[in-house]
Amino acid sequence: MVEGLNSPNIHTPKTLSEYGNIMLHNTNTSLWAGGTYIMTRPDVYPSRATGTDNIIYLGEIEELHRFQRNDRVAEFGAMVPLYQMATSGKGVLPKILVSNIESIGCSIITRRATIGGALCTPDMTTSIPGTLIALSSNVEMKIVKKKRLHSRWAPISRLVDKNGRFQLPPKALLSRVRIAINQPSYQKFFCTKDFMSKPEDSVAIAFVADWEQDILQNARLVITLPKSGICFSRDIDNIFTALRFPLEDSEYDSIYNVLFAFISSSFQISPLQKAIIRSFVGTVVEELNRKALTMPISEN
Amino acid sequence: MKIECTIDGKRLSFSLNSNKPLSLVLQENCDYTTINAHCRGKNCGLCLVLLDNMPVLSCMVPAFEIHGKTITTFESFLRIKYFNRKLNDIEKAYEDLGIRPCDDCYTSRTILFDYLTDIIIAKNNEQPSFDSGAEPFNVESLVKEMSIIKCTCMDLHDVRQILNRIRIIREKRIGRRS
Amino acid sequence: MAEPKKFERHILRCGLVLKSKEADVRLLGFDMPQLDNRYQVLTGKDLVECSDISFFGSSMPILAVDTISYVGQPILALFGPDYESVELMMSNIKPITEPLDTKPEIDSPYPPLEFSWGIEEKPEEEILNKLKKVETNFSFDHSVFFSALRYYVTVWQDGKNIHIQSPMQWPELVRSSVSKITGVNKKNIILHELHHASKHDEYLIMPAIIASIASIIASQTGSPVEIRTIGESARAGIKVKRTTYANEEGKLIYDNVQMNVDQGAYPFAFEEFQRQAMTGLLPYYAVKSFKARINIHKSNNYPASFCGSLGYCEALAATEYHTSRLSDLSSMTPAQMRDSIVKEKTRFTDYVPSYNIETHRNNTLKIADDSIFNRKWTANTFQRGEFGLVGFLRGIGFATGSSIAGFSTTMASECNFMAQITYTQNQNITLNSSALVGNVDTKYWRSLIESKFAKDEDFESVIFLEQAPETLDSGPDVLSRLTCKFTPQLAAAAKYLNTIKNTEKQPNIMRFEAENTISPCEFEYSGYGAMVTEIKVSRQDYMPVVKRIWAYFSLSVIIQERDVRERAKRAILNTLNECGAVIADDFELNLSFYTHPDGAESISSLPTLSNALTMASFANALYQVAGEEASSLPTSARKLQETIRGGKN
Repeated sequence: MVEGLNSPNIHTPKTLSEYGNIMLHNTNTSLWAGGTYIMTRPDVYPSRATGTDNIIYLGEIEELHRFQRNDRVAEFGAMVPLYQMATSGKGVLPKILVSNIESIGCSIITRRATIGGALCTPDMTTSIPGTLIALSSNVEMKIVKKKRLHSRWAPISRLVDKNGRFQLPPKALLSRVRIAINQPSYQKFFCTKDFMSKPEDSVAIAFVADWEQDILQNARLVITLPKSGICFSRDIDNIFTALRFPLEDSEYDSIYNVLFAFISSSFQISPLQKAIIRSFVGTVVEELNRKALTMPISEN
Repeated sequence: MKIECTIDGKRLSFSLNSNKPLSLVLQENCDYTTINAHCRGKNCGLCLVLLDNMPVLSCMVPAFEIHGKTITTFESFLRIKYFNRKLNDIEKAYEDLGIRPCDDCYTSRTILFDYLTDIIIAKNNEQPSFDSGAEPFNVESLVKEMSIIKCTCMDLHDVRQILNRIRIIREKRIGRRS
Repeated sequence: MAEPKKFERHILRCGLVLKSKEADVRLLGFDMPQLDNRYQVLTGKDLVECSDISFFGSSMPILAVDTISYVGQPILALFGPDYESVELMMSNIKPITEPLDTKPEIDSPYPPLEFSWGIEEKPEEEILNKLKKVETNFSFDHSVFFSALRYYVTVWQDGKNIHIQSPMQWPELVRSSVSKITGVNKKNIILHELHHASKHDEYLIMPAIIASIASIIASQTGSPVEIRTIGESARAGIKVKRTTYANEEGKLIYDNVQMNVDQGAYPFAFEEFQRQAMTGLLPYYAVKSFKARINIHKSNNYPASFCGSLGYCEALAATEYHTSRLSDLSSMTPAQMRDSIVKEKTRFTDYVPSYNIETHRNNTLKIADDSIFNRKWTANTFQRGEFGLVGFLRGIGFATGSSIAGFSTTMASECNFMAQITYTQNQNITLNSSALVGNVDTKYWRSLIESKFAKDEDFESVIFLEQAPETLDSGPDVLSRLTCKFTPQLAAAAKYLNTIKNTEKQPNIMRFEAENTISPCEFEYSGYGAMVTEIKVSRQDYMPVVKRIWAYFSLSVIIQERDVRERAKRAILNTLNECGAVIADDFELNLSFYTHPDGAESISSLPTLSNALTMASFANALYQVAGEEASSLPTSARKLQETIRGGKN
């Protein structure tokens, strides 16, 4: 071991209450899930002893590895690896979530990356929170307050701050993610290659809606720009909701203009990202147009 | 932090900084020359090892996580008889096809080829009706698995050919033995 | 090769080199913490006697002294008991700099190289205005490559001797640099070459710099010293502007080329760069008047290494790119146009003898047929305006050319790189050359020598002598020199030795030049090739995805086809990656080889040719997708989106 170098104390709680105790008695702690984010930081090693003094390794908390489901929702502990989510939940989870996980890369990465870790990245946004917002998912947080561990559920969309970043309250631990397992009748996900390695030109888009006759209902569009944050709004969703297909070119153009007026007002976006989003929206409209035009007459 | 683990069949005990990446432990504390990469998590894929028989990028694994675990590096393929036989299969496949990874990615690719071949064979054994001549992995999943190694010395076509060849050689060897 | 020498960690001094994060600044000093006696520090100012390394008539500082010229320049070396402590201490050392009062001279301090034939004076504007004009701009930006792999340079003393263990592409450069800086006689410097495979000549210059730094600390402390670093190298940036005028019948009259080269902060062998680049600029289409000018510029970029080409690849790619544009004059496809121009004879120049038209024509026709080039090219041209409708664009690019290898005749005569082959009294053949370790060709050389003596009973074996102070300098392992120039020389020497061994007393010694200097021109064409690259750009992500490549090479000698195939494939894939291309999941590479019927003995540099053809055919495919602005290399999704959409969304 090298003197003068940071060798943080490693805490390996086995239960959430043990975790609460550790949090109460230690300051300057950092939580360790799969390490896929922390280990990619340039100054992770060697670093001086003034950095993180305590690492709480969450891998041994049994509650955080649980996966349960009923007819309506699936609940994943925060330490469930993305790989396990995609394989064990392939039949039940919404398709866009599975394809989002698959777009992240090979199993060597997704076996280590956890759902909790993918949500709680501090200075960059992964593609996962956007998809979960589109699916109206909720998270459970464990918060140390007045020497006790409190539990609270909240929709993920509520935890996104005004800069588009997913933000947990101070001293909170994300413990579970609850995802509705109904399959929206129209789902589409797109993510550029090298999402994390070329963040300035990357974009991930999740779109879900219910297709009733030739009308879209309950539409949700969430755009993730890794550097700028997560972009979604009820106003955007309202543009798509109650739209009757097929759309004219002029209608498509006006959707596009409203969408970009909104994104550009709050986020920094490169021309390439704009073009990719435009192409995505174009593809969605084309697909729905085709769907509307090829519907059997009895349905129309 | 005191860390005990098994590396390439040897039980070892180290006094290490708890957050030291495994790739540096292997290079600096074990003096291994078969791992030269340390890309600090940029996913170059050149520091691949097996941690409890699962492939991991060793630059992403901190020292505290290897405590009590088994690490298999390319050194095992050179030194341990069981792995050496597996390496022979792979080398034979390279030789038969006239395709081999470049010096930079040779060790990582070889470990990954070995791991994937074992999965393919296991899958074949699970499904006896499976046509053994066909490739059990579809192109998409192969791309995804091999995409961890960023070296551009071979394309997917080569990867498929090599995997198929190793599988045939290995199945023959295992069949002969049993 | 012997096992690498390893020292116990507790006796080893571990070192790291601090590299500058800024360029064009004055280095005033360093802001550093108090270092205890466990650490040693070395700056440019400590190197009083000699502070630079030099080769091919140029020099660069080992550690920056007053001025920092480029980002990545070594400015300080720190040594300590282990790498962690050194790395941590290094993070506290900050260079104190100030901007330079006057910006360094960006304009070329090097004389340009000019070459021309045909009409001397510049034609009047009036005449030019009556002619058809084709103008192209081909560029490849200066690029720096960082390897993910680390390597170690270890230096230790043993009495009077200094031992250096490192991967190295040119042992003599390491030896002479260390000798110069330490004052130790070259004979007392013993090199231990580590096995290496260099993609971009990353072990050409840097090991000499690192070994020089380490040897100073080793002689100061008396302990073995190890420096850890990563492979770094850079490709020179080029810009080629080429204008061709043709008369109304489409006959080419004037061809003017202006090539500007950014070789970085310390241009090495710039004259050789000019000669190689000029050879690549020569057209094989018939033109009455040709004029070319090559300017070398100094910049604040990382000094460019040879990258397997020293200008020929990029220049040939620029020529091929322009040749494809010339097809617009005659409403032919680039393949048809190439097929039509080959009917005329090409010119013999000081740079290269005339081109083998028959082989070129065969290659063109073969590859055009295999790839159904003409039909695809026409279909893609029609489809260009339909991007909004179909959502993707396809491009197909054509390139043909020939390879050169090694150094020019002029350079070879200046360098005097040698090797020696001896038939000993014990009936062994020994080879004394610095070009033996870490080189894949040694297996072939062994079999080549053995083949010359195979039927003899009085022949035991071939022994390659290990690196020693007496080892002859065979020059750097760059530009496929060792395959293309060294191998025929070695074969001739072995043959000669076989003839004299029965008539003369042993040992029979034959010393020969490692370069083939008998050529009347600077270079000789050796090996021809043609390539077609097919790409697709989708509006989903604007990535230039390479779907398929057809490559066809006719070579005079194919040493080991598998090896040759592997080399070509790696060169193609690597170049595509450097050009910013994305390889499709269903990518197909159709490689075929053919041996020249004339059976000439010259061996080709396949990586050089593969690089050039890949670059050119990819740029041509990009041109078909999105026009000239998109074809500047390396490309990116952002660049393509800007050119396809014209910045609009």
